[in-house]
Amino acid sequence: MSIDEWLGFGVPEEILEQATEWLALLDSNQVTDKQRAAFFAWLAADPLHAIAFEELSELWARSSVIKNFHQLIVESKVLAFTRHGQSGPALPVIGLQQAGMLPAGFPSASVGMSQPSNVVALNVNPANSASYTSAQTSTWLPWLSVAIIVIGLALPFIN
Amino acid sequence: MNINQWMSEFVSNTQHKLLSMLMNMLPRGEAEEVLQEAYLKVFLELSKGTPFEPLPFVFRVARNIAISRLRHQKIVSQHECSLQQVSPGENEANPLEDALKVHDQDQLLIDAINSLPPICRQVFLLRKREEKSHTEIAQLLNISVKTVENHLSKGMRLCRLYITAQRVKHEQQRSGKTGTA
Repeated sequence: MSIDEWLGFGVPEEILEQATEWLALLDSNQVTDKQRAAFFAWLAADPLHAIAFEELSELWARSSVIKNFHQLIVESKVLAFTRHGQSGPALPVIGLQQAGMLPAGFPSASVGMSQPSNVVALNVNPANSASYTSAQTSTWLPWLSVAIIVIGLALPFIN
Repeated sequence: MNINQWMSEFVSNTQHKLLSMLMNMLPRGEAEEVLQEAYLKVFLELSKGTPFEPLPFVFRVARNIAISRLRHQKIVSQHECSLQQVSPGENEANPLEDALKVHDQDQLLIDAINSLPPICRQVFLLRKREEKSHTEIAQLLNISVKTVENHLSKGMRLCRLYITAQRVKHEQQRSGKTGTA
């Protein structure tokens, strides 16, 4: 299948955008009858709607490819805290440890009150992290405050 | 109403929209050729007398013809490239072109997913790789189900735009190359 057959090539941008929104909604499995009816009405309203929906469904289905190639995917999680020198219960902190989002020296610097070795991994794929450097400085400050709160919550468990 | 009257009405109702779709895919001259070809197919289908829906039909037919033309163009230009590469002193392959040959469409998709902003990517991975439901993702990340949905549609949009951009870049590189040769 050629690449032109699953990107809605030639279809106006706003129609592709609508198709994407429908796909995300239908994927939620929490579609009301009213929404379903609206979807079918939209689908039938214009041949381009059907084309856009079909092709982007293909894109959506194809993106499951990441299940087979997980070694190629840049991780965006795992910053586990364990006890110094022991394998204590790891506290996965999801959402905070985005790859490339925090500067390399960030975790140990901010966790001054606990041992730096508490920080186990900031799992960054070096090949890809470069692309985030521009966004880094503007985004890591809010995360710093989140990190401090999370660490505060985690401390009772650590000790 | 006879078939000719019906046909001319059908053409005047649809040609503007069809042509604008085709002109997003092909140069004007070719787009018009494809349009004529598609209407001819509708006419032939009508004469068969089997019931069909002309409106979706004509869009699909036009699109298929346009896509096969595009594919043909690609094959022709790849052929030109390979001829150039055979000529002495031209042994250096184009790295991007090789990259696109070796890494297939899956690789392009993986690159697209890797280029997503972190939170968007995480939601995408939780959904597509961990196969978590929207509700589960919302609980894990402490966000609303609607936000999960928005991240997913944003992810899809960015992936599409990424791949489209790569494709355009690749085409430009190739046409630049054949242009200078």
